[in-house]
Amino acid sequence: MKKLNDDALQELLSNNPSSNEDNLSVKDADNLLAYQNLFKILETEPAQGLSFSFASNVRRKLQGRLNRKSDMRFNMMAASIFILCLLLGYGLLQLISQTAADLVWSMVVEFKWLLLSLTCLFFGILLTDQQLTEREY
Amino acid sequence: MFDENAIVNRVLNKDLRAFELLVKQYEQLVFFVIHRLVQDKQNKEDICQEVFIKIHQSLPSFRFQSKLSTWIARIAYLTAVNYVKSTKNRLSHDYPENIDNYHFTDENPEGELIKKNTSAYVNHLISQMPHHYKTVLTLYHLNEFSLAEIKDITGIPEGTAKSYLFRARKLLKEKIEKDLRRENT
Repeated sequence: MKKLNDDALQELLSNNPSSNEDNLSVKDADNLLAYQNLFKILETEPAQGLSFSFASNVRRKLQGRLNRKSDMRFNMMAASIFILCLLLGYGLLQLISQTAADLVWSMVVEFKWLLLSLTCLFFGILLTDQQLTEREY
Repeated sequence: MFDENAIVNRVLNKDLRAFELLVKQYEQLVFFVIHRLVQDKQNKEDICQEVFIKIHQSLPSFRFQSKLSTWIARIAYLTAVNYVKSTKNRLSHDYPENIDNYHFTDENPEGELIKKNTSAYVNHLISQMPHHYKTVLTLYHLNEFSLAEIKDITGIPEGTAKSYLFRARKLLKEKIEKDLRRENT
């Protein structure tokens, strides 16, 4: 009769899950049975799981993130083009009329806080809009 | 049949329907890992979602050097470990430094309540084990990964993973036997 320790019994079951050796001692056969039952339980899937709509929820969440990313990219690009246009316009104005350019510059300096506030307000509205859209997803 | 190469290529071409198929294919694998390692019942689904978002972000770096399931399981494992660390899970600090000396604490009311359902009781016992034990048990038995794949997923050497697996099963068997003996006397 074979005498097997726990490791040997587990190895035996790992290699042959339906192992049913007749030449084991009573104690070893009991241990083998206990391990067989344990293996079955360990392979039992948990009772609770993910919701049925899990995959589509992930897709929606991802879609939302990708939309936000592309919106952000678009906004940054639009802002860059706008700033570039302003600089270009100012440059052209300087070429055409130095006085007019100086006048525009003095106006910008005079109303700098108003212009800065308007720019911040514009980006604030964009960000709030994006956050509200994210919540809807 | 699920063709992982074709699906990955479709996802890389920004096909979100293909990604939904990928999620359906691997959601169980991810859930098993998160379910075992994260105790927080409320956040499990959110963490699983986060795992799949990470998978989508990292997919361009997947080079088919391992099976897709192994790569996904690694992301799930690392996310779970980071979550447990960040929430400073109470249980993670209760294990002995040398986890080979781990043994179940005798009784608690929750254990007494669920003893009658063996499967639930085993899961309850597993939830008390150190996370290396939980991980190898889950990956080996539920996700059916080999020891070599477990090494790729967790970074635990094959021999160590095998010893954790054997030790965890022995601990569970002995604990159940002890409880049965106590019930019969």
